[in-house]
Amino acid sequence: MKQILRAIALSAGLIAGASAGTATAQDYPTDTIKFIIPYAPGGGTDAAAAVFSDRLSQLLGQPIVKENHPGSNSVIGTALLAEAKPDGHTLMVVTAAIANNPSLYANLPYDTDELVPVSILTSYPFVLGVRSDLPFNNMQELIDYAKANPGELTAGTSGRGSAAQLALGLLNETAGIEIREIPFKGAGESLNNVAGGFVDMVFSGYETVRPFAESGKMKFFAHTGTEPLGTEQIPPIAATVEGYEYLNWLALVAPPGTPTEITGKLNEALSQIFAEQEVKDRLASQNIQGVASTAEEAKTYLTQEMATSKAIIESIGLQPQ
Amino acid sequence: MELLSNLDIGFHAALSLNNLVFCFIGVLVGTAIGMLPGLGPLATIAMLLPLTYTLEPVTGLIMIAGIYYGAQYGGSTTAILVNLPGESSAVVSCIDGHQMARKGRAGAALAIAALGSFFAGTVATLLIAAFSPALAEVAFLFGPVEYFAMMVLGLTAATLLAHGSFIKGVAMVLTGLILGLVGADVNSGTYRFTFGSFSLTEGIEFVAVAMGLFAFTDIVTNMRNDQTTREVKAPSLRSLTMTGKEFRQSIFPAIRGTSIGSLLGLLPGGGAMISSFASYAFEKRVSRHPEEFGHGAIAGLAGPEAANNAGAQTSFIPMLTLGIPSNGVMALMIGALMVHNISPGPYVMVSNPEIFWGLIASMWIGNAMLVVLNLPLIPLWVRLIQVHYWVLFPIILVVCCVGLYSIQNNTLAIYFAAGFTLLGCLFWRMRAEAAPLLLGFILGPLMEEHFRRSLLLSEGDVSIFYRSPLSVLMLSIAAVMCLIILLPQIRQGRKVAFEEEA
Amino acid sequence: MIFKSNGQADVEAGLFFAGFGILTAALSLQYSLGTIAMMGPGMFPLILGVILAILGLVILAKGFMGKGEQAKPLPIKPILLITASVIVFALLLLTVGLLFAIPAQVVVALWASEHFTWKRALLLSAGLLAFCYGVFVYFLGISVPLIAI
Repeated sequence: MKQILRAIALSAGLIAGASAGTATAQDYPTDTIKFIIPYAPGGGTDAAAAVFSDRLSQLLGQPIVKENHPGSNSVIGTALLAEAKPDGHTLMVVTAAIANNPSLYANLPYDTDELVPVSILTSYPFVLGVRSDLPFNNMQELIDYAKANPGELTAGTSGRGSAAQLALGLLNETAGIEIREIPFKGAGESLNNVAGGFVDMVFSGYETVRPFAESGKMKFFAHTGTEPLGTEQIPPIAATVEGYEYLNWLALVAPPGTPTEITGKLNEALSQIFAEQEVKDRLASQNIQGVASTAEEAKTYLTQEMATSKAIIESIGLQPQ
Repeated sequence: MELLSNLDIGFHAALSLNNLVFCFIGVLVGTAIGMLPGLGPLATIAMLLPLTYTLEPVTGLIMIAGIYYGAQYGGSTTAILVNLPGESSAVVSCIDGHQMARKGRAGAALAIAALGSFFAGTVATLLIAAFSPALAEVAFLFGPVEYFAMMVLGLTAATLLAHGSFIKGVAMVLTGLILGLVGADVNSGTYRFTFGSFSLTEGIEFVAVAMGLFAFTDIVTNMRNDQTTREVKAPSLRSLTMTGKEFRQSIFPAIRGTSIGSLLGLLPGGGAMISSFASYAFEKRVSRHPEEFGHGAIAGLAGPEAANNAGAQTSFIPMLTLGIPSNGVMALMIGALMVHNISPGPYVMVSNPEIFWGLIASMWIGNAMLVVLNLPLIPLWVRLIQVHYWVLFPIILVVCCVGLYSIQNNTLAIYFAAGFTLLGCLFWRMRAEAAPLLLGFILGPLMEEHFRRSLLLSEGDVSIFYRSPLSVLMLSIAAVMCLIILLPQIRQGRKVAFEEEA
Repeated sequence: MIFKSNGQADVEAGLFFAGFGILTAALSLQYSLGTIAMMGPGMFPLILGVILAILGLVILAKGFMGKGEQAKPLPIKPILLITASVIVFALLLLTVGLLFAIPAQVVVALWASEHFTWKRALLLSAGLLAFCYGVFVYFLGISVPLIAI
């Protein structure tokens, strides 16, 4: 019964608090904090946000609610954030997509440079999940096969401008091979199609590929980072294709004009959370690296990533529209 | 027997007081959400998900599952009573269910829906318990080609929903397909028909289309004469319960619907959605009185209601056994598991049997709760729609509009509902039925996606569509169905030169 | 009237479908068509538009042949007022707030009915305001302004 009471108390907390506070930054937070998730409910970003949002809510003493606003490679959610009050009560958890979008869309409804990155939360490589009946078991064999049979292999991606598309484009470019891109609506669908044998491979997070590998429908023998990964010690693609690296990341972003007192307070709480052993273990089991950078580091990182993405996007021939 | 011992573990877990209470909260919230227009189960569960983090994993899952099938149930209730399909799966229930209500059989319609759903839920739960691991593999037989064939089959079935002219049904499906294409194109990311609006990049809101074409149009056409004589008959005690004849008439459709739903529910991406109208089309074909369909045929309600619930239940199978989400709600359940450090996948059954079997047992308990909760409420619902129409229609309008706003915190959807009201009235004047349009609207983007993906994979070789036996089978069934519909129409068309309906 | 079949439902339906099909086909030409192997975003809508236009013409021809059903007479006043009530709500919701949007919608909608009285409109508005505020704002936490000005 205690659980029930706790749940009801929590839900009451979620519901309360619609009044707009005009308190100063020192008192922050004075109200419910809203996390915009610019993706459909149930995606990887939701799960990752769950890792730290409960603890963050405890540390800051205010409930945190999530709102999913999916669409257009996170543009819709970001546009909502850009219009929100810069009082730290509306924040957004977003992936590397935010750095890709300026090179993909000619008329973004916001200015990426004006957004205030609070922290780079995590960073993680993609695992290359390959249909298990294909006749190669390491990266070199895959490249040799692709060179001998140009245009035969296919890879599922999550559509235009998705991180998986960039990872694939970069591989084709650096290894000099041609793996055809088959766009899907999301990682889930492309994973199913690889498992069913309709598509040959997919770049996706470790945790999403693992169940398929366990049931024998897929194998993984490479990932997009630079060091051997996890308990399986999966070798990086860079060991075969020199210079190949693609990392996806999650960032916490605030609306334009958010004061540094607020981002500082958030950073302090975040670095405390990411130092906790339980959080570390949870991230490690999914092969995710906890970062929890400062706001300045996040800003530098975002600028840098925007330049890198721009180069990749141009090299694979995508035009802004 | 292993099955029995497994179910024993399951019921042991599900029957704890805590789990029962949360199962009840889940179905209650779900029913309410399903009846309110706008907010669907996906948005509700996303909002309530943080609440479940504080619960035991199995308790959290039981509550989410309760919301999911409770919402399906609530959606059917408003579809029958006020012709308002809150969920895509309830579109079909509008057709004959609402007609029954207009003939004074609202009580019977609700009872048929409740008992049909319960029957389907029971059978599907047993199926999950007995065969999940084997059935899970079915999902992997379906690639882009097979999905495309399934969409063709589904849309052919959709034209059967109309009881008027077949060719107008096809035209309505096509209109729906086109409207469904608005938004970002999956392959190239190009925005089509959005006219520069970022809010349209995800397409036109389904709920806005459904409200405009069904509920609002219905309000207008109800008002054309004198509102006091709306075609709902006064309640009598008899009208609240089902007659023995109605019960017998619903048995076989419910069994057939359950089979169709259980099978299609296994397929991720649209399977469960197609099941209700596949069942409708099937019932219309096998019926000895196909002319009753569209005018309150019992089989046209019992079959789809059972199919829809069975499909909702078996869509858990890929999630539970393989860790693959077949729809948004399943994806959220996977998220809920991962928060508790349980990795979804083939090993959950072995490593956490109390979660796996507890959830399955709770589905049956939840379905039983829905029946117990809703059967006594039927007289209340029936009285509710018999209040004066001038009270009822402003309520429908206002609640729908607030609901539309709540979907994206945006008034655009409300304007669209207004536009679709005008369009709905036009269709009503032209005697073109809206149900096929709505189904085309839902399936259009999926159909295009799979069609283009198939050709992308085959590098433009169209023979890919007849190299897969499954695809050939489904396309042939669709072709045969078209022939069966068209032949008598052509023959009839020659015989009957002039025909006018009063 | 030249055609005695002017009141035919099929004539109007045919014109509508043909028009909508042609419009779709025309609009889809602004997007790239691509090839069979790599279809562009314009191909599928173009195909659908053309088929719909052809079907529309067939329905139109059927209508001119004079068989089939009469079009139903449209109730003009309810159509305009019900649609207007929805638009009024959308217009007022964010500019003046829920407190005014709901009564405005109720009044306009109820006007379509013969049972309009100010007392009824007032009572309905009050009840709906309480219900919508309680359910959507209080329980579901939807952020909608009660008073926006």
